[in-house]
Amino acid sequence: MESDMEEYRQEFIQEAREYLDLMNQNFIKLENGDLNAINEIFRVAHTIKGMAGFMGYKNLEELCHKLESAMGRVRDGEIEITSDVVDVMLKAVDAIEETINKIEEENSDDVDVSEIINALGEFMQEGKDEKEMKEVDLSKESFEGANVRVDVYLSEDCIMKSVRAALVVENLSEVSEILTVIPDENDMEKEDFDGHFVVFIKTSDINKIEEVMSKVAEVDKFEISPLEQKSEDKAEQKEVETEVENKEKDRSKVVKDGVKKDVKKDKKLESIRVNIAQLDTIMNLVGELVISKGRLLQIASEYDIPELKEAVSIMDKSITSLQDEVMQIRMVKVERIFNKFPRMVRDLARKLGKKVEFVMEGLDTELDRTVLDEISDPLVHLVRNAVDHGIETPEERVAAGKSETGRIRLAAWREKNNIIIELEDDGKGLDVEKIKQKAIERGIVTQTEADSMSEDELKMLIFAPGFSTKDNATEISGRGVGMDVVKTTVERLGGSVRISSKRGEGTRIRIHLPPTVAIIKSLLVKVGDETYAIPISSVVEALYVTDENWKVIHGNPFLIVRGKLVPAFKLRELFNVVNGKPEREVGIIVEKESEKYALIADTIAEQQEIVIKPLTGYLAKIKGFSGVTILGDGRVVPIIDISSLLGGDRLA
Amino acid sequence: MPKVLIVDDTAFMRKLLRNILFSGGFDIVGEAENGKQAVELYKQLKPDIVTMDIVMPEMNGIEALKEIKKMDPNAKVVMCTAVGQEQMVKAAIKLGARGYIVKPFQAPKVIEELKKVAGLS
Repeated sequence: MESDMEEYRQEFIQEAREYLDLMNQNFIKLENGDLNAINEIFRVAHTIKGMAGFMGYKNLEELCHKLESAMGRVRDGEIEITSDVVDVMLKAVDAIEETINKIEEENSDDVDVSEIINALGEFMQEGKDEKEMKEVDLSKESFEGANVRVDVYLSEDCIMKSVRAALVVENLSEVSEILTVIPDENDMEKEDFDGHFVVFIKTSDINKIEEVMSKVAEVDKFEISPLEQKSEDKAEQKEVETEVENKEKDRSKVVKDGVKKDVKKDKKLESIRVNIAQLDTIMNLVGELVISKGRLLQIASEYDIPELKEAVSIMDKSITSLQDEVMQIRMVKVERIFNKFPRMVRDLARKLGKKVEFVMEGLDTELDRTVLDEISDPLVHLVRNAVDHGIETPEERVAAGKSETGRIRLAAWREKNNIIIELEDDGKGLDVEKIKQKAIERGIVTQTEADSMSEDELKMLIFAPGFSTKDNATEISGRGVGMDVVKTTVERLGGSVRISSKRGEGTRIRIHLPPTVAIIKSLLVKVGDETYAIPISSVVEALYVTDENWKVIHGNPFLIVRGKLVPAFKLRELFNVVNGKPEREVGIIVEKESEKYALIADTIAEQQEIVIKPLTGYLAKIKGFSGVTILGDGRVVPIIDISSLLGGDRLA
Repeated sequence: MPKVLIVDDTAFMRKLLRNILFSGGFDIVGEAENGKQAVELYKQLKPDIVTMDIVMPEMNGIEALKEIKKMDPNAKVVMCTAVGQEQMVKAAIKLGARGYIVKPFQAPKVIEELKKVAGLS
């Protein structure tokens, strides 16, 4: 049972989070005047409440209950929707989120929510029910026209007794004529209704009454007493308590037999939920298959076995299809991360006193889950930046002859083999002069370098490590993720960032991403006994290093490629490989931010599809590698990450 | 074994009910996420009992109940409800719901309710 609960807990957390997202979105819709959103929020609060109730998270249940009630009043038009009201409710949503986080981390919902509950409570002067109870007379022996009296005693632990009573009455009404019910419906809804009620009916078949009564749950016992009256009395007057059991057993057998015949057909489930970790495992296994396939191919050609070659080529097809399918399953709509933005933009804009219209497009665009997860934080940063630095205050905008409300557009679409995410604002645009000065101040470029740079190049400087145009990173943008992280993340994923901006008109940032990253083509190179993988996407060409094309200037080595000096980096030195120096080395020309660099290795082993296994924990902090891969023969090979190997601290 | 169709918009609740009902010896023949799906699946699967959540997107449980009753007046629909929804459940009962279970679910109660409705005991 323990582990069962744990399983439920995981699912609870996951689903509750999804619902939170939904809630956030709907609050934004609500504020923008979409009244349908009220029902959605109401529903979602209700749903989370239900789940929390089951899990025994009382605090959370209470919180959701309060929110639900407040929403109920909004729905009934008793509370007017103002930004202040939405603020309080959003705080409640945050509190729910906080509670869920706590549940995830500590399995406890012990979060102090009293403040927010009070705030919500202010919306709700709870209507006090007047509790005068008139004496209900159950002793009444008969009723005009009735020939049977049914006494029903609901079980003590019956929840919602009045509903249960209504169910009994409704069922009875199908086989008899209901003349009256004591106490009446209103009285049953009162708290001190003890579950005993009487129904006077007119019926011609007492057995039917008995049958109907036996089909209602939570009935402790019932008594059917024919009334002595002028009407056609059924001779048998009997009191039927719950000892109708025998009869019931017989009846149930009949029902069972009737049902059995067509039990097993039409079992169809159109979709199932799969744990993401499992999907990752499958992807890894597919990766391993790809690797083994490579190995088999190698053996086939080494020993020249045509049969094996043929077999492998058939297997190859299946593996490729399998790979495609799994990739497809891993695709997730960008919606998943985009959805949190409207709320974020709203809160930010309110805090900064700005007016922003936020538009999203292409929510159905799909990306590999890993790519999407990675890109999430950088996007948050970009969107925050757009609100904080991009859009001006309403006054500034009016002064500049623009509309008071700024506009930010976040769009995603697929273009050939790339996914493009574009963030556009109509704010003040980048101030190239300011960027130039800051970059020089921060020592990112020298005055001379800066002077020789084109406007586009200068704009790209905002992605340089250590660059920030605001002196004090505000609470909003300064969260440890800089623009440089945006760029390195995108590049690590094999994508690119471009920025275009016009002074006074706005900024557009365009991110190109590969739809998936788990399996890549790579070049395997050897240095001494070591093998390294270089993603083929960053390789331009390769050539032998000779006396003629090798030059050392001021202690820095260069490889001359068609008359141009390309900075060279010896992998042997970077990675401290000592053994086996070859006579002739090879230079692999790679491209990083449209600059070329030469990586010097001993030999090129081969070109191969590899599966990226990301480094985790402490290993993830090692610069220069994006992960490792496992080769067909089981060797673990690091994958070189060009942008972090050559970036940042400039290893040269 | 009575065939049950579970209708609830949360995977969580569906799983919960699935486990409870399974332990109670019911045959879960399908699950729907909203009223619309429920009506569709009812047509396809012809379950003996439907557990119907009330508050759902697309089509709520009350509407779905109406549709199902239209198709099959003898349909046995059990409403899933929570304290505070008394009036809605009463409405559902007037429309022909055969029972109701209250969240948070207690397994024995859920099983009792469905067995009663199915005519087993």
